[in-house]
Amino acid sequence: MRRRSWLVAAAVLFMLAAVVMLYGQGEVVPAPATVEVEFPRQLRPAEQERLQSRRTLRPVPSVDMATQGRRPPQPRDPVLAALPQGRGRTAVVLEANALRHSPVGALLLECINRQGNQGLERMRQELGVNPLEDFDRVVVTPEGMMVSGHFQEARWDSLLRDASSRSYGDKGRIFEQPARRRSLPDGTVQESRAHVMGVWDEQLVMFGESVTEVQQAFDRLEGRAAADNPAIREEQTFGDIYGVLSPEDLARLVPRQQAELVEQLRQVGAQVELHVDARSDLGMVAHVTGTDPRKLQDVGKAMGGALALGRLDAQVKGDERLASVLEFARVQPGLASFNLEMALPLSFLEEQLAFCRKQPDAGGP
Amino acid sequence: MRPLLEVAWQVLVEAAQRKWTLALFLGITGVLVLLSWSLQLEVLDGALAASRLFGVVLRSDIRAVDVALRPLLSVSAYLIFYGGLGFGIIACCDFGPNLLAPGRIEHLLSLPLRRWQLLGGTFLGVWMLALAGALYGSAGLTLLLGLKAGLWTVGPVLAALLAGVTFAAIYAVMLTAALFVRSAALSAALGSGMLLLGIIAGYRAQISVLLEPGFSRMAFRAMTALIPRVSALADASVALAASSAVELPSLWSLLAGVVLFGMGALAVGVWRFEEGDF
Amino acid sequence: MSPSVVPWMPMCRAGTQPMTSIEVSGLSKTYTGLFRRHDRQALRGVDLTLPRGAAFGLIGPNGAGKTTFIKLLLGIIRPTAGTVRVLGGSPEEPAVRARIGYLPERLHLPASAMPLGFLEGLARLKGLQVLETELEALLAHVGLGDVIGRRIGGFSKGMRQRLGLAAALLGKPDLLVLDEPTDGIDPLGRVEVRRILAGELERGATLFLNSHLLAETERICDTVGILSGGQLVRFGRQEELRRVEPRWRVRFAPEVDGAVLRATGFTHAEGGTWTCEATDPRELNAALARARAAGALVVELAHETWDLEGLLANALGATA
Repeated sequence: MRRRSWLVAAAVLFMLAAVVMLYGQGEVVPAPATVEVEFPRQLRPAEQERLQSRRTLRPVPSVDMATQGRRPPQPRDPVLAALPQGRGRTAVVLEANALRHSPVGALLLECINRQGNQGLERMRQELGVNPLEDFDRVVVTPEGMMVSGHFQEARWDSLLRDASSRSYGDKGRIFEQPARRRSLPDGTVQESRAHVMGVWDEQLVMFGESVTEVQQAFDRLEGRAAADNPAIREEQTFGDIYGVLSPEDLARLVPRQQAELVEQLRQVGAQVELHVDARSDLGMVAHVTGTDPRKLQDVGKAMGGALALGRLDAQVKGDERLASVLEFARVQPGLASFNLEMALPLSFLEEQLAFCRKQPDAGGP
Repeated sequence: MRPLLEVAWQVLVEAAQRKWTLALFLGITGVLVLLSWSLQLEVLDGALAASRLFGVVLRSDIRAVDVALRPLLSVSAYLIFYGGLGFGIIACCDFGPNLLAPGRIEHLLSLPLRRWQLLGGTFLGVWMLALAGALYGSAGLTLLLGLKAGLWTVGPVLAALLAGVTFAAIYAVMLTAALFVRSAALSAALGSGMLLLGIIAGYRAQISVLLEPGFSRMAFRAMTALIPRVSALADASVALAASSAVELPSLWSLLAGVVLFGMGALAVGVWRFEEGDF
Repeated sequence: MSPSVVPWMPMCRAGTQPMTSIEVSGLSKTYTGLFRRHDRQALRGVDLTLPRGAAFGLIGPNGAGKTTFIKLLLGIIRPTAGTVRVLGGSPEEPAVRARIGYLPERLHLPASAMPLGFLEGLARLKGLQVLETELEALLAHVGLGDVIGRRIGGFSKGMRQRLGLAAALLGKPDLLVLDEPTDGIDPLGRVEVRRILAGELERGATLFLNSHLLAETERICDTVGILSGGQLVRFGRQEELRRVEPRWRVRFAPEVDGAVLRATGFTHAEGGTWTCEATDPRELNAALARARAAGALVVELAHETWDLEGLLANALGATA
């Protein structure tokens, strides 16, 4: 009888084991906790198709080419043609259409909607432009901004009311609003800078401070100026955000605490080609090139070390969010360049935009 | 309690005198020495800048050293866990049958020891031997990474400990089986079977959704409810080694369940040992 | 109890309880086969009482149940029926087994261990605090003093047997159960073993011996039991069991006339001796008187005895 009690004990232990293990493991299939990041490294098939479909700018064929038997130039992307020419410039393109349908875009839209979209509504009513539907790409340069899209219904006159407008070239219109000084009721003087806006063929709108820049862009679009060396080449148009940064603009973007790194970047004449994928979690790739490959490698190592130190520092200070973000950072050394890759998990962005979920105050904008 | 520990100690003494035990420890030491000599890691400001194996540069991105070494730590954790279990099954399968060898079992049963102390002590001794091997290898790897890369992590040691707990459950089944049929081969076969079943049980949630809802799914879930979740513990050990989050509601509960299972198997073994004529 | 079993109890002081080392009553053991088919009854109702300090030899043919009996004494197996008491307690109690030294027929010895290490481990399992010098003395006592530094794997059969004996002697047990203790030991070694066992008996230990070497059993044991077919067919003091009643063996002076002796009722036996049947001293003396009257001179007179082999054969013949 006493020996049989071992069998009873075994049965009880097995039952307990089953119950405890069921509790310990759970019954739900665990969702993968890994971050799904797509790092844009080259043109993908969808982007190839996009590129092809944007070659709508037909250049004017010259007589010389026809008689000399040369192949006439191929259709080009008008946005790229309008960009400033030459290397060492800064231009960043945001694929507004793609971003609008991305998780990040959904977060931003939710934020905009919660904060009140009166600005967007006003734009729709006064300008006849719906940014959420009519914008295709937004280009940011040091000189200004360019937006491509469908603007057939736009009423540009109502945007710059005091501006003078004139035609320029075959399809361009330029609006100029001079600088103004206005006295306010409290006695102060408000100064506003000059604004220039150019609209080309109801598909491109440019904003800046210089008329010359806008005219030059129109000249490139209509074949009056060379446009064969744009700041961003066709093969660089991959990602949901892409562009190039000049050494000076890159140095301005790096935090002041990293002064040594800034100086190193200046010395190697570093230029950055930036690509961001926003289809799931944000994946960013910065391809850095420079004039001195050896020094560039050192810069790459220094950046890798700086990121690692930054992560350690964040861990020590208890900033788990920053530490988790920097976990995805890495530097891939190449022969005469290096790639810096970083990922921003969607959860991090959600936390950053958590303020949007708070209801706006009753008297707010 | 003291007789139990004395029996365990005698098992360890006997195992230490076996040549293959020496070979095992020499083997682990050899691998560690080879790795320490052949693996070179260049760490700069906490970032792994480059790594070389036997002089060949391994493609490695420059990133924080603990992040960069996660794949190595993960692979090591899997090797320590599953490799340790597999080796333990093969190397320890004959302790049970040897205990029951004619001439030996009669002598042992004539000693002033209770049968459950004899069985429990044998189990404890073998388990401690397997755990010592796993901890030796994992501690060596921890030391290696700490000295070479400045990365001091107890991840590999945790993986070894989890493997040790899992092996306890598997060996309990092996030892109990030997009491029914005195055969090292059968003992090893059952241990391997338990390992495979445990891997399946660890993924029972994922596998069950593939089955037709109804009787087959219910039967599968019922049958795997009792089996130790070996693969879940392996994945947890990898997560611990790589300093990632463990995707389990409660790791401690899972471990406790595995321990209870092992105790249940041993209880069956004690019943058989108490009832048996030798 | 079989009529051939001579009940025997030691002389003891009046008023004191007899001290028994082994007390077995109605002991039976049946080995059950699979699904209870082919059950085998190894022991059938054995009764035996052995006093402290006795030297007991258990003999019998193969398959008689001797090993089963020994295992029941040690608690290695459990009886199907009956009771077993050893040294006043149940053999299942560790405290009882702590006072027993056992040498199995085939003792497993770890080949890669040293003899001192083996004995030390065994002492720890028995809960004994033994100094290394004591263990060395024990090894020397059994004739292994010269090979302390050799691994057990390099021992001969006889050396392994001596080591097993040393293991059984650890802790000066009250009961020694030895299964074929001189197996593999050379003749001179056997003398040594007998001396060792005699020393243990002098110390007050009880000896339980199972040996196929009947000569050894004859020399060592004062009490003998014969097991056959699971039953104890003979049990008692050796000199009483071996006595062939009512036969006497006589040696006459060489000049005796055989025919005359035959006429007076003597039978010629081997070794130049003669035997006669006499149920009491009067009959014996009458036969001797007739022989002397015929001119025979008596040189030697003793009760006819079997050797153990003869006893065994007689016992088995009677039970066949």
